[in-house]
Amino acid sequence: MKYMDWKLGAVLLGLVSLAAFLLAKPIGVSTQYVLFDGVLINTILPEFVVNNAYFAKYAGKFDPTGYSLLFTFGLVLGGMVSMLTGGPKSTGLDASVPKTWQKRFGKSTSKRYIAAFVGGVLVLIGARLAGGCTSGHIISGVGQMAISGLVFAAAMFAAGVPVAHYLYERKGK
Amino acid sequence: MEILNFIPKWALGLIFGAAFGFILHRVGATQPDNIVNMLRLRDLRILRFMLLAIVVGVIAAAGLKFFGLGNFDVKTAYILGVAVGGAIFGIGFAVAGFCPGTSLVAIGEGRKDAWLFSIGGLLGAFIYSLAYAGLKPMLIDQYNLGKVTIATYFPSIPEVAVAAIFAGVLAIFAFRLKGCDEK
Repeated sequence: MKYMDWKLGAVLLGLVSLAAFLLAKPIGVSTQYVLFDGVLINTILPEFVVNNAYFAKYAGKFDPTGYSLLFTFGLVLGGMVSMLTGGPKSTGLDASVPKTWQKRFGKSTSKRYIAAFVGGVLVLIGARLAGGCTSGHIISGVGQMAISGLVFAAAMFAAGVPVAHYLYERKGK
Repeated sequence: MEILNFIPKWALGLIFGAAFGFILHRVGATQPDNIVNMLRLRDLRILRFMLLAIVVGVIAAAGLKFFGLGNFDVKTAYILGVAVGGAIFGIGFAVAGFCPGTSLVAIGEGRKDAWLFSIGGLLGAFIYSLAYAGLKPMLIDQYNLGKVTIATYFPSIPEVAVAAIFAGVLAIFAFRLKGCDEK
């Protein structure tokens, strides 16, 4: 199936954001990575979580059954339900190596996995330094007209656009 | 909304997460190709989707506030840290084509590279926790404007009016922007 109309999707996403404002709190995802790390490390090395200045900010929130981690689990579930009910689905090699990547860097899955991993490291370092990501800073943040969200969005595109051009616009294999 | 207090918090989390993920998946935001093509300025559908979702969010937030409802949390604008963080984020976003949320949705769809991204993300968040104390004096404590919004700078205009103008401007961009590969 082809994608949902972007206008309909936008209105629906805005309504979910509204429901979250009303009943819980502004939606944000990147904090959940910190909480997940916290839950993991708390079971292995609880002293680290207490003594680390960053994890200390989130003390008392490392609850595996709380709102935040269930939200994270919901994201995975939402993708699964959409795929199983006729949503877009990548198959074969495309499910590991995106087409744009194949065109430029070839079909090697290990190369793509390394890039995805490094990308994940950079994205979460950046998101934690900035205090949020696409959802928290842009969807929820700019939705509240926050200056921080506007600065984040501007910086993200200012860096992302030239890097994407450098990576993908040259002739590939 | 006291009436709805019977719904446990964890259930709300699950419902909102699933709805958010479902929509992101259906519009194609969880496909790295679409993110990369947005950043290449070839196909701006996902950008328009985000802009229009924000328009709805701006109206929703201003409306709720007007009636004294809702829970809001404006993030602190420590300009330098937010800008440097946003730039590092943008580089990783271009390399991988995922953001922290879309990779989790993509895991649900069955994308294998999304697992690598999210595991990398856990490591990235951990690395940041080690660097935090060292970076804080320079990047977070300096140039800190506080929890400011656009409305903060227009104290003489009602917040609902600022929101209406801002939403209008974003809506124009949402409907006018076109990538260079789009018809």
